[in-house]
Amino acid sequence: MSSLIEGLITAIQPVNLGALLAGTTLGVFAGAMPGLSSTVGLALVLPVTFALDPTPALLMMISIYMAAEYGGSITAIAIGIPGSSPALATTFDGFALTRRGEARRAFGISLFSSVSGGVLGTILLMAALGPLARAAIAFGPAEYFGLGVFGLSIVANLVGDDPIKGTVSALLGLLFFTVGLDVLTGTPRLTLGTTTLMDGLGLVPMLIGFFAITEAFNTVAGARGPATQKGDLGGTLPRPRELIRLWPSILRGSTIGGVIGAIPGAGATIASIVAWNEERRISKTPERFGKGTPAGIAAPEAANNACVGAAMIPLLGLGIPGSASAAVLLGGLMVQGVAPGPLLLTEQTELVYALYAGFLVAVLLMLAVGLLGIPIWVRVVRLRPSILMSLVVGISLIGTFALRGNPYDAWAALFFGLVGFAMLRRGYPLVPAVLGLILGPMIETNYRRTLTLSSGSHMAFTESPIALVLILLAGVSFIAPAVRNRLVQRKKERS
Amino acid sequence: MVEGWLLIIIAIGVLWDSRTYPASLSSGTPGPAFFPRLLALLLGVAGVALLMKRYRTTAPRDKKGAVLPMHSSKKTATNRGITKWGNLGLAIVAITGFLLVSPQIGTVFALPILVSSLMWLIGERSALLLVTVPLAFSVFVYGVFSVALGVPLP
Repeated sequence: MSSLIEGLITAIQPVNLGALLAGTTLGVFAGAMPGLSSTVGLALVLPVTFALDPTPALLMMISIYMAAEYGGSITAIAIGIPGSSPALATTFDGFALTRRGEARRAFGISLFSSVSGGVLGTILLMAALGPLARAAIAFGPAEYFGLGVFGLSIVANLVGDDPIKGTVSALLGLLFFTVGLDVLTGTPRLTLGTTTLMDGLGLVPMLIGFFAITEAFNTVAGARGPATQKGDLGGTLPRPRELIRLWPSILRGSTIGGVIGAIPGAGATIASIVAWNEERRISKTPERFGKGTPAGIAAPEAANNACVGAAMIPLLGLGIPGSASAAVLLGGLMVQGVAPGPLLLTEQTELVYALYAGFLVAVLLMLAVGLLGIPIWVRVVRLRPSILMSLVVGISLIGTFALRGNPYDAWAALFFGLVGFAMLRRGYPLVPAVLGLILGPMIETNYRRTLTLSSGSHMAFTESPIALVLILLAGVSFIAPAVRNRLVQRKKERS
Repeated sequence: MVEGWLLIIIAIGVLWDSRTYPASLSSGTPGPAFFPRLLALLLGVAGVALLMKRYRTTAPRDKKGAVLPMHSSKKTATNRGITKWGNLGLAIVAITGFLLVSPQIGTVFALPILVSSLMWLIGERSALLLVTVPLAFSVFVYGVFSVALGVPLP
């Protein structure tokens, strides 16, 4: 405890506090802008940190990471476009609340849940760095395959009234993932003989195309009215009682985020989607999810911020980055002469506790920035559609340039915009396709790796308890909605 | 019905392209061809299912799945007689034009044209807004991305 207090004293020194505030502000911006993300924000600020001492440099970076996960929810709620992929699940209920004229309520729930998730994830990091780091490396290819299939099973809850169309959407997403070079062998697949497609169709162009450009096309074609229907367009902040009632959802989301975040390569996107799905699955009113349920915002937002602290577990404990952002952080640590690994906690105790404290202070600064920002985000919601959608398309296309500096990404975004528009026109949901693109690499790559290691024996999936449990849960998750619907229908017929 | 046939065509296309991929690298382990072929098979089955569903339907074609009432050729007051399909086409042209032109003249100059075009297509008719908003936005993008963040824009 005394080490943590010393860490707090270090974190609130003027230079360090300034670094945390700058990082938090930049992180919120990076997370909110479609096309940017915590990874891009960290990469952009990395050269700046060369000129700083190790402590403020690292504090700036971790505050960007934490704040960006919250920032993604701002555009997800305001305009239905996730600023970054971990905010995808937040769009389901967050944007629905905005359409009901309750944007302030959605922003407030998101902020409170993000702050809570961030704190809980940091507590997990402090309490379990050593043991969880060792457990995290128990995840091998079979376990990752199970996790990917479990994540994809969420599609069953997103197919709407037509399971065939929802399934087709997911299959198309999986097919989009196969475009490019095969990860394991480098074989070009579905590249149409071009070198451009060898890089594949990226997730960010898909998100921008499906959510920003498709929405713009719908607005241009007159299919969408204003973003909100009601008079005030903003509503009120959530009451304390409502926030307290959301605590079980926040705890569940944080737990899921903490567990999945600690697994290298799993990521906040999967954590937030699983958290949303689990919340829906255990809810007594699952039919309300996707239509503006507060728990549908609280759980994924808590999960994606809890992931930040959890992602530091394999990073600090083993030197293995748990996410793309953590990989950039690893670069920052090494540039500053910090060697992550099992000896870090004993050899650089002061720095580690300064990082712990830095996370807690960053979360508080995120709360302050968020509270000050909510009136601004609500103003965005109130903008005329002609201005809002045009600016959204503009910033989204700029964001694709910022991603890799490759104009091909902007063309890919336009392609997905056209595909998304056609899909929506014909009644095909878009989110399963996004899930397919996100989870395809995890599923295919680890399926093949597992069989390579087991010389082709599928028993490898059943010999791992973790993999077996995840696959069984996936099966239940696939079948449960159909069974539930059948039972509800029978009840209706009887009554 | 269209999408049923489209899925079948996509499935055939994927199977055709995958004939050159290694099916297996060693005994029992799937190679790069496995996943695309599996997806092609599933997409083909889905396409057939959609076709069968369509042929089983005896009622007139149901437009419930459609999001847009695009079949109407009525001209509206807000778009000066250009149909909604025409608006959509112009929006696609505007974005395509931006992507083609921005490497030539620079993003800072191409961006206001794009934003202004989209604003007009969505229904904005205030000349002041059509000029000032795109210009201000372009300055913002340049200041934040190029100057502050050092992101190279075309």
